[in-house]
Amino acid sequence: MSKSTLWGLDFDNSPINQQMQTPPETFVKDYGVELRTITNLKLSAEVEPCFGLEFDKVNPELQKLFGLNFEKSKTEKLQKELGSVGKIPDIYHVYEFFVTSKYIPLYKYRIMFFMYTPMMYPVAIALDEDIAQDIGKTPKFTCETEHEFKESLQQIVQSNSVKTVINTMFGIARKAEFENDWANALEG
Amino acid sequence: MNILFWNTNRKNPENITACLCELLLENAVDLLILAEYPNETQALCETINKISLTAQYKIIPTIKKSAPIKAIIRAKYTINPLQEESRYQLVQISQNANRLIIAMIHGKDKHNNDDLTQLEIISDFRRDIIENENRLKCKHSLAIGDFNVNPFDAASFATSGMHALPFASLLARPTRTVNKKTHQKFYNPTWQLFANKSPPHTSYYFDNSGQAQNLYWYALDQVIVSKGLINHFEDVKIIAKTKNHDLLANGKPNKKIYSDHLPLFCRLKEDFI
Repeated sequence: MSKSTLWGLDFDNSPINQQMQTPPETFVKDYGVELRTITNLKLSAEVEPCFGLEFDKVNPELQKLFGLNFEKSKTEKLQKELGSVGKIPDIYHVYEFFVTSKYIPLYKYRIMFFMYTPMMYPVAIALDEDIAQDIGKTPKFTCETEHEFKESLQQIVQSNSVKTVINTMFGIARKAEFENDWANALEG
Repeated sequence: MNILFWNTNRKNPENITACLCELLLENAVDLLILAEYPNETQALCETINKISLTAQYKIIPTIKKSAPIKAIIRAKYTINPLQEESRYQLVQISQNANRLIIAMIHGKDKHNNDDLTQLEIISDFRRDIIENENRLKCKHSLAIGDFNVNPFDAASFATSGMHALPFASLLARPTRTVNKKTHQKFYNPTWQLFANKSPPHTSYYFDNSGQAQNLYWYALDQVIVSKGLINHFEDVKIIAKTKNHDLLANGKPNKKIYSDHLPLFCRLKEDFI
């Protein structure tokens, strides 16, 4: 049954709501939750926004990090359609996805950076060379759709490089928990 | 703290190991960092620990198996690995209350990679040094390794690269703004090597015969420090011989017997860490 509102609109059941895409970080966070569960809280995979890096349209660091021009992609197309009235703000959502363990203090294993515009897709991904090589991609690439992003994410997380590091971190964490000495576990 | 970096090359593992033992003991090296070292550092550690009467060493552990750099350090220091990427890695070294971020790199070479590819790696390296400085609230960083670029290449001194400048006084203002973006400065003492009157000048020799631009000696191996470390930085030099090993032949690195690079040595003031 549709709700009656003063606006005469029902956002809960409107077609636009049904088509709304899920922010990419939501899928990434799922991997974090699962890693905590399967490692019994020994490892944690975090998704954090990169606030320190002031990303904007002309920022050369952004161009370098992802090696692409978002202006020429869907954002620009939509901008042309909307004209000046519906100006899209130059906001880029940049996130880092990494694995940590309380048993290996200060260590951070970065899996990837990813970035998207208010359009959400495409999503740009910047990977370490080893992971990129494992999955047969370049270190910087774009996922045009949500489906493509989810597929790439799974490939990345299940790559040999990532699995090897996570296994090693888990081994160290388990040993450190048992011995109550992270430094020894790491060096041993 | 005495730090020695050497791109040992992979070709002469036995000569290199024998030479490394002497290098360490003769120069009282606290931290040894190696690129392209073909042997196990655990074995190197054990060999040195047997020879040395005073200093005991341990390996700096890596979590990634394909770490680009191998390192050993005096056992008295506490090590925290911070980050490992395909071309570089960062660790925190501490003793008592003093902490230091050591960022070690083996950049992409000039023969197979263009300037932009080299710049990209170094740019990422710098970003991660700054990120870790901020994360750990530690302003003492020392970056060392085979950058595979010279101090005068854009990847070393431009804002988009290491932004490492040859004049410490320029760091009185720690940042510079270009295109509305603020860039942290670093100090590059490697420039000092270019003024040496006699060999060894820098760590790498290449005779680009017949070409208009031929510098002969190149400083691909560099040490770069953050502002917080300038007053603790004492010395940088190239080492070309030990008691039983001469790393030069005809005044150039003896790559047939040792390596095409010479070891780079630097020292931090003893009271720092």
